[in-house]
Amino acid sequence: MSQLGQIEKDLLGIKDYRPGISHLYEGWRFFRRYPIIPVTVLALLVFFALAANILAEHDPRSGGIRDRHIPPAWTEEGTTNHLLGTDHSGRDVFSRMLYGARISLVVAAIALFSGGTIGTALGIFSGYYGGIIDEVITRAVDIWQALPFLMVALVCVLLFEQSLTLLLFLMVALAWVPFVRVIRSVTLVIKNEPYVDLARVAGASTVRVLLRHILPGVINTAVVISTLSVGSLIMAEAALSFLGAGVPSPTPTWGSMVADGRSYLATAWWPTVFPGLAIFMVVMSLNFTGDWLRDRLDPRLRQLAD
Amino acid sequence: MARFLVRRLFSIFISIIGATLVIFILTRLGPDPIDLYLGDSQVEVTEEFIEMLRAELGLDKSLPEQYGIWVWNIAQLDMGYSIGTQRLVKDIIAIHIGTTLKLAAGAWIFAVSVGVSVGVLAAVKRATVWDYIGRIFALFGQATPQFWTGVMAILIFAVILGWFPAGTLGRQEGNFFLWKNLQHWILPWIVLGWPAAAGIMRLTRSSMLEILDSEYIKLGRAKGVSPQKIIWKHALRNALIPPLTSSLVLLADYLNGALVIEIIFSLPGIGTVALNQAVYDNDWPLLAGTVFCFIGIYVSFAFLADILYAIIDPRIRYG
Repeated sequence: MSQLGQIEKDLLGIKDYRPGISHLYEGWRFFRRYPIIPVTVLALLVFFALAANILAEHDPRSGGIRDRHIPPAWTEEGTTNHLLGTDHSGRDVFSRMLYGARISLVVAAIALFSGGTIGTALGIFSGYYGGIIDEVITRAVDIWQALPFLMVALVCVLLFEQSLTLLLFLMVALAWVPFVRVIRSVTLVIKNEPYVDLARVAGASTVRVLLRHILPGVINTAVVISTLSVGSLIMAEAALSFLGAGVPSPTPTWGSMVADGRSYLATAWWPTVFPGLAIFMVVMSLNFTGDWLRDRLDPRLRQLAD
Repeated sequence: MARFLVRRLFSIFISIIGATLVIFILTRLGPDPIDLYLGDSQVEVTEEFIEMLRAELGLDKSLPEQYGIWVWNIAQLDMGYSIGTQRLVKDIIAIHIGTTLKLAAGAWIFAVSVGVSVGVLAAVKRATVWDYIGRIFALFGQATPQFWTGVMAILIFAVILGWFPAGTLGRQEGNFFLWKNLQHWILPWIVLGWPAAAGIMRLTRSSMLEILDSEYIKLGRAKGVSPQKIIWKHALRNALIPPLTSSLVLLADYLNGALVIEIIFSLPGIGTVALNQAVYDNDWPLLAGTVFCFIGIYVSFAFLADILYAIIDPRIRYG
């Protein structure tokens, strides 16, 4: 963020903020400092996902064809029985979204944890050892980035049949990449710190140096990258489900709900609109929380992200 | 510059080899390739026929040999015959790639023009309504899944408002820039370009703010150059470097999105071919061909971006 002096601002005609919208500006500042809304949304998401089987009043996998396309409760023909209406085969949209939240969260969490561990480990190795190991790892990242992810996912679905395991593999394959480069560069800085040299002189083994002296230094960065990338992982999972490469039906996922609802858009908008809104709100909240964590834990990453 | 080019070309070569290797290994980890060719055919096949097919497809050779032949054929654009239609994969791709490229080019133009102008506006009018509109534009762009924005765009602008036709290209006759042809493209371009526009907007905004704060701008101001001239002539030209160069890479990243957008808007590009003809019909050679098409486009965009960057910013060449 640049720091313009008042005279320069006047010269350039830049006004800080107009008196009329100052509360808007203050509001923005407040929510940047304390991300209450995003954290509430995320807490709700976790709550809904955990309590899906208690909160869902209907079976997410089956419904009666008589109940098809009942509009949401607040419209004229809606019933309070189906809060967000029903889809083309009479399944309750709200119940399906609750179970869909479960899938999104579980897949994103597993992918993030495994991918983050792999990526962080590779980044540390790459930065610490340098030389041929560094070369191979950075090349692998380059190659991976040249692969069109969704297309490769389609190839895998054709080859291995669609399943939850395959989806998890694909998501891990996507998740590790952003960690390597950043962790590598942080490691490069840390490994030249005097305390690392001293540890080595004192006779610490390589394993000990890596685990006790390097790893704690990069863990903050890893946490920040995790929160910054989890949103894109949730979007990727949804895109895979949308293309029919995700968890096989009839398990409800937000992506497949949008895909199913798409054909009936002109007659019933609700089965398509609500899952998409859910993805949007969750990803937006994650991005906000990620930015906030970054500014708190590792402001250096700011340049990398912007 | 020559050394830089050679180095970049070499690393691109490695990337392509690596990518083909990954795809090849994937196919061999999966079921027997011969099953992919036979598919779910109901006809009884004899052992002799399978052996014959195996020999014909070169599947009786050793794995490294198979890989070599495969890559060599692809390098000569020989990707075999599509199983479903018995036409050359090359021909099928040649028919459909134009649509994908038009989609990508239009989205790129949208992303750059909107991203840069909103970014400049947000930087110059920092902390005003314009800045917040710009930021909200960026936030939405980066947090909405494209398959959903696409469907919503159809619902709002095609179904409810009726401004644009819903999906399909209709009959594209005459000049491409006629409104009746162009109107089919507007929504796909915007939906595909939006996330990239958001990224470009953020980059433009931050680099513009940085430059407005630099010494030479201050000097210009001290000498009494008019604010308009400072913004448009001195600041913008330098501030454009990062967003323009990264726009190519961004575009390459959003090619993934092109697949989804083509399917939503029923555009007959290679993404639609890949999903509708290749995956649903288990048409393996066709799918491999489309995947390489995407890899090729990605790699060439990344290469172009590198060259562009090196031309604009000499420090990169010697880095």
